[in-house]
Amino acid sequence: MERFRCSIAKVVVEFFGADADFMGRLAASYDPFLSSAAADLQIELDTSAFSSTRSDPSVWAANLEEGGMEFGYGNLMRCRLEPTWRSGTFYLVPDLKAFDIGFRVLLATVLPRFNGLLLHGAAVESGSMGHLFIGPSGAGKSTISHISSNAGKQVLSDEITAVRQVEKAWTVFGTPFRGSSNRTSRPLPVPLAAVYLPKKSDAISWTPANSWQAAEAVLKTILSFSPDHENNKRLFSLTAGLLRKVPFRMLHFTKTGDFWGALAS
Amino acid sequence: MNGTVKRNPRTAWREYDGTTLVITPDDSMLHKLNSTGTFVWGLLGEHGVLADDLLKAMAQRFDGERETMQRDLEGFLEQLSSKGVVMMESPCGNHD
Repeated sequence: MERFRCSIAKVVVEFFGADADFMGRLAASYDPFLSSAAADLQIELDTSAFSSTRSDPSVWAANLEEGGMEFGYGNLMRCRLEPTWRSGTFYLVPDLKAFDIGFRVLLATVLPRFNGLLLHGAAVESGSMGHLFIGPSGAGKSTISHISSNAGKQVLSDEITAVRQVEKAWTVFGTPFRGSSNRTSRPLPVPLAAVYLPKKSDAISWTPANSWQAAEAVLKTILSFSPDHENNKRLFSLTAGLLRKVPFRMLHFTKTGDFWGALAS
Repeated sequence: MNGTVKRNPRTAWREYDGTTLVITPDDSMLHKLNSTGTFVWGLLGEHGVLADDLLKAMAQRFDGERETMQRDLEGFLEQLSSKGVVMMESPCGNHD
């Protein structure tokens, strides 16, 4: 068996499988996120005989009666997560995209159990602090990443970002899950300074977001696939914790203007 | 109006400054209740309430024609029921 471990938001997943060539390609692809720390989860990759009658290109998920859950994506992959939530098996075609989708859903599913969330958001480091810009597709995450990069800021992630409460402080982490820009992401954790709800505008400005705007934005951008009542309650609880500790701001930005000066004021 | 209305016990929800956000089970959809909806949600409590009592409470809380209020409330509850946010039980015990 070949093995490698990936650490995202300090949650370490060990993958192991018999397909040496596929395992090697995966390890190379996730190189910045490889880790030697003790594994929190162990996932076997079984590429020997995956088949599916599903052709719908979307994620499905279902709780198992005995605990744990199953999820999958079209005819590319299926995962069985055991009731302990600490081990499972990916049944998949030996393809990087199939693995990447499974890894995203796996992390989105387990991260709330580690006081973390996976969000549609771009994360930027400025002054050793993390700034998170959340929103659905089209909200401007790529534009914000581009403007920030041109302003000399370090973009941790331009599409999917992890936040996690570590020792009572909320920390933002880059993830290997890339957006359309295919920008290389960085795992670097930084303390979360603020969360922004970006809105395209003719002029640059920001105002504090009220609590329901902030909560709605977070809950709408969380990657969540678990059809689980307890999980939904956990998402509310984590969102409330995030709102208590981190300021949320409505950011009006333009397509080309550098908004970082306005944020500093 | 008759029958009992109660929250779907499998929803997760929280109130923020007079706005209630509710996640329904199975589809994991997020629903937003405005201040009036939040008032109704608060009256439902954990065990539900008679629809007639809901209407009476609304008439005490808000101005307006009772018939209009009843029509709006019925529409609102049917909408919430169709989305799985609340459960409506008729007097003879049937669930919608």
